[in-house]
Amino acid sequence: MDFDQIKNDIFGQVAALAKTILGDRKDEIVNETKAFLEESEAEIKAWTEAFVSLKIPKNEYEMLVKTRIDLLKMKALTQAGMTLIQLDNFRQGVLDIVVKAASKAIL
Amino acid sequence: MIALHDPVSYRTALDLKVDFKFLVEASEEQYDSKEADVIKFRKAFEKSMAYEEGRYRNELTVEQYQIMADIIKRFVDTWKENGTISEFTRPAFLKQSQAAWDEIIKLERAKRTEGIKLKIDKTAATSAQTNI
Repeated sequence: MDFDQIKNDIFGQVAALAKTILGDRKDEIVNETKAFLEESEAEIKAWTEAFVSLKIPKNEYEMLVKTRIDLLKMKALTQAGMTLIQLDNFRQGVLDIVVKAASKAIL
Repeated sequence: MIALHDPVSYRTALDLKVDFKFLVEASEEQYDSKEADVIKFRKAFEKSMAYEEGRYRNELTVEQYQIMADIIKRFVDTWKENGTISEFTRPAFLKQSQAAWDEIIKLERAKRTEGIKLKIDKTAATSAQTNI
């Protein structure tokens, strides 16, 4: 049984799996956060104008701004969850690769 | 690792999202006339939060529910204090709060339907056993 061959085979497949499952995650998170912050700026500007021009009372203005900040926190938690789900998928993928490689090796 | 997908949680979050939408829309009317609806909604929300807290490895969703509890409390307090919510604020707040519900729904929908387990290649395993 050639363990180096098995090891290299597993490492190669795991690296490919990592790239597929986790590779695009960073760019996706950065882009989503950037878009959200740009949209937030426009929203908060509109609410501030409404508050300054006495269209809305102070407590409603504060409620809107605080909810927007809460929404950002919610999005961060979703992103964290998505990353954990992808890590779970990655773990399952690694497990499958190792089991298949071991099964082949003992044939 | 994270909790597995739960259809009950998913359905409940969708129902709460819609019920909260009706509540925000109702805030054009005096709080006192809608207080019974507010109480009913808060009871349903608390029940579903307790359910989420009881789920294994569900910390992220529980945190999202805690943030949602703050959003709901802030809204109810403002409505109570002002009597009604202004025409400008209602749609703006509705958009923010519905997006917050969507985050809970999005995370639940994305969760795996089964846990990590060994997927043994049956053909290889059978051949291996025959060779022993």
